[in-house]
Amino acid sequence: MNAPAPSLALVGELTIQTAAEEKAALLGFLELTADESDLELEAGSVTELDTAGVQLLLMARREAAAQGRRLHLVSPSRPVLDVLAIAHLTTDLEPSGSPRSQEAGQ
Amino acid sequence: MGKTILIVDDSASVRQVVGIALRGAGYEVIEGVDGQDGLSKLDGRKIHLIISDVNMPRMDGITFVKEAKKLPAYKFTPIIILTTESEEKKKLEGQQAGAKAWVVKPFQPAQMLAAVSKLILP
Repeated sequence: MNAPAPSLALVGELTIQTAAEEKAALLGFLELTADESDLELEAGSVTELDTAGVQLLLMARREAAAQGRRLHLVSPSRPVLDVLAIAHLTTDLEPSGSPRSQEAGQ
Repeated sequence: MGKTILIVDDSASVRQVVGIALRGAGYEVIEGVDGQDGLSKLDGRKIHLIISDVNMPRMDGITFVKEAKKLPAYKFTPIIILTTESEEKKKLEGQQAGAKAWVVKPFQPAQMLAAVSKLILP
């Protein structure tokens, strides 16, 4: 059986306010997992995503691809799915898993 | 028993990544979500090194360093500042507060581990 792909859980805002911190975390994650071909970004606890956050997700995916690796966006929250849909990036970022709603019953 | 490092950062992903790097190198890691929470972790337990962010809600990193240095049990605990802030004035402020090293994000995990192994208490 294959070991699960290393996963980084994104929590809270993924916006211009947090972009520098999150970029550092994403790049650090890519470096720390350099031996792994598949990686996961668990996005179920992202409460807000703006264009800076979208750029970060695309940057991480591009960096991974440049190293011949795959980065999967897993269980994105409703705010993430909504922004990706508006930006027509659902195909590019291929989110997988059920969206995790921030409020039950949404 | 492994040496214990306290990470104080309001970004959950930064705490995760730094935690992966440190645990992978054999350290035990405890976390604080901001300066105030970090200070609450300084409750007498043995901590061999502290890594702190600067810009955090409730209590920023510089104030956290100053407050930590007032506690007799942690007066000599080395503190590394890990931040996106590269301004010289801020660095000087951190140094004057008692920080031993300043690592600017995005950081190379290897570079951070080198600073940790150089500074950590025996």
